[in-house]
Amino acid sequence: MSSLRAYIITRILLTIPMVLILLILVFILLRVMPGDPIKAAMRPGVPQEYLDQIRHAQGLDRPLVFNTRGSWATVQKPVVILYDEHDPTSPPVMLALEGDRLPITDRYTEGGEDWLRVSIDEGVPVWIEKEKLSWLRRVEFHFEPVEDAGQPPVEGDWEQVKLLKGGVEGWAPTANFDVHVNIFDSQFFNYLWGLIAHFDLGTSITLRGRPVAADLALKLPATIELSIAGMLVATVVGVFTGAYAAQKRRSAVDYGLRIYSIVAYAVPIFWLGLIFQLIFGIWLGWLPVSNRIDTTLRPDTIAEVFHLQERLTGPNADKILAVSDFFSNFYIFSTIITGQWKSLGNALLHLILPAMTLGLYLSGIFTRLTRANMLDVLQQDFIMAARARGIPERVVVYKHALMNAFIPILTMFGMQFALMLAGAVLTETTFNWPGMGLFLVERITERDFPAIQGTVVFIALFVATVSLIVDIIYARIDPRVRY
Amino acid sequence: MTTYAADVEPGLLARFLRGRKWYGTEWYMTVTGGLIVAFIVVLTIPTFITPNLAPYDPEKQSGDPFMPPCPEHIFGTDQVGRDVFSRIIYGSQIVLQVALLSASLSFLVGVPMGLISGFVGGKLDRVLSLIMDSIYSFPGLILAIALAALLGAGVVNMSTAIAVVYIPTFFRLVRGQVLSIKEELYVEAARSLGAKGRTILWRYIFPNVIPSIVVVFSLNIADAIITEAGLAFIGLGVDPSKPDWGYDIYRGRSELVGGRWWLVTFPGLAIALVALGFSMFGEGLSEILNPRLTEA
Repeated sequence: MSSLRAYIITRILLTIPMVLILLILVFILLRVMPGDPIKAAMRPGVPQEYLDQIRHAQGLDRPLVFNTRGSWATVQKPVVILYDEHDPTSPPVMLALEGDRLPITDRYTEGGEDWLRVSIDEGVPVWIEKEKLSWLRRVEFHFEPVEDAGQPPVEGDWEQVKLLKGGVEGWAPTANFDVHVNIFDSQFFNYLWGLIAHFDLGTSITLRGRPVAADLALKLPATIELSIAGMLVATVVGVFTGAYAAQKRRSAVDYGLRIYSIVAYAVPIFWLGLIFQLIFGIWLGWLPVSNRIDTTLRPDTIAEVFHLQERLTGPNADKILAVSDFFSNFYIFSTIITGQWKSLGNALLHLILPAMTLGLYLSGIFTRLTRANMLDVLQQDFIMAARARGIPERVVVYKHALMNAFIPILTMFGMQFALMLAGAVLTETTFNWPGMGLFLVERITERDFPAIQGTVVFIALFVATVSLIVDIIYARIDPRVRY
Repeated sequence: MTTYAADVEPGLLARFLRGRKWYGTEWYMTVTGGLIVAFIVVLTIPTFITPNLAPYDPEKQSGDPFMPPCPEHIFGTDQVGRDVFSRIIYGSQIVLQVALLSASLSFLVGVPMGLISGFVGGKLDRVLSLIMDSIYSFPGLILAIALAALLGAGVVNMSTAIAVVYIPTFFRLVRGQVLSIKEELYVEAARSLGAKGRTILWRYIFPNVIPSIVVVFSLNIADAIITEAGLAFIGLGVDPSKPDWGYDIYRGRSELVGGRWWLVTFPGLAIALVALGFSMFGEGLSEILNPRLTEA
């Protein structure tokens, strides 16, 4: 096996525990936080039935790590009455019929009693007690009555309905059920498995159960576009100032650039953004200060321009359309390939201030890294040899030295990726740039914890992947990098 | 008594003095940074004692809303007519409290862990390093945002959120230094004389780590100040009723459209000044203490 391949495999294997640790940390953090995450996201006074159903849909009714109480139950008796509480004198809620396979949401085993709480999910016809039904109607549960339901299987006021959004839960003694125990049907393993098996980042509470992954896919292009532009500004500013500082080492210019790099880092990035908005947006009125594009100039998607909807038929049409929609959100890329020049110009105008803000913030560190690397290279023998041959100093510094310093500089840029993402969050907030950072901040203000968890997990995976790729590229270029 | 300077490991002071000769600029940087820090600290301490230090009460209305800077209110007034200058003076309280507390927390957790991890080595070291590297690789601000959102408002919660982010910085620094110092001859000598592990760690290794810790501590405070301001700016402030630079910018932001620049400009300058002071102090010190490290 070549040593490069060995390096890549080791590097990937090392990434796995690091990502796993972050995933576990995120999981623990969201579980030890005080208070109920679901109540936190909802307005006060939301009926308990809603909270229960959201908890069930979010999977938060499962045990934390190992599920020993059982994960679903099959009804063994012809008819089982489900009660409001684990108490046969509490009001009855609904009926479960023989053979129904119901998810278990809670279990009560105390004082010799053994009760199960099960949920009847939406879409399943269920007999519900009339009084309960009128309550559900009042709190705006949506359901439709089942036609030709016939007679209820037990005495009492029952009506058969089909729930349309969210289910209903009730208690019954465990003896009525055949309990299936799946020890891995727990919050932790469902979270990990969902992530690995189908990249499930959870669902948002306040956005009515929208998958977080779908929202992030919409926001990611905006963040990437901003990051690339910011990186470009930072590279141009950072590399040239850094190289210049190294050339004029220990001069006033070097010292001044040193101060610049510290100041660039000490100035809060959001404040820099606001000052740019003030000067270029409000006083001079040259540039837009918010959003990615004017709403009137929002470009048509790639699918719309090329009529992909009609042209594509076949098994993979939906997937291709989804991919094309994802790329349509890279406004600069999509407007160029579809030739919507007006939108392109507008998108570029919107990009200038955020990119300058992010770029100048990062440029301080880039200046410093470039300077250190250049000093390293300038001390090497081939530089002295080049000087000895009488090559002009300018050529020595900017051609021979800078070209050789470039590879380490580029990897260091890769390492600053995490810092850049952090900067992007604040830049996006400052400029209302609809990317991942703004999404995270919005989720935080709505206290939507499952969505926060999903976003943080995605960022962790994103950072790990990028640093893996950067390291592999570096190893490919530089044969000295091996374990 | 004659000692030959070249024969002994230079002490802190000697390194300071030597640094001064070789790297004059670093010396200026340290002093400038130190002066800024001292200025802010000297200005902040009395604000905890007396409420009358600023020209007006920072939490009460003292003029018309949105007065631009004028002789009575040199930095203008905010949405409800409070004096921006007074709010900046009293706003340093929260920033400095959070910065100091969070840096101390990271220090108290990260340094012992780094010392033990580096000294003991083996499995413990591998596990701790992996955990710390995982946290370190993650974007710090985003982690702090998530933690602050979970923990809720308050000086202690905010400081904890920021502290978690910077524990790995201390850990990695200390661990790395312990690993190299552990191999030094004098440590081996102490060990062969029968010194206990704890004695070696505490008496022979720890003192040699202190100078770098001082540097990182100072830089860490600068980072914590910027992070706190960032958290406050997205609305995760310590206490909305208290003056806080980051939070004041967050509130002043929507007034920018009306051209009311003073609500945002002055608190931002204050943050930049304090962060700059601690950064310069730390940077300068770092280059004086380890000239080889930074000069390559």
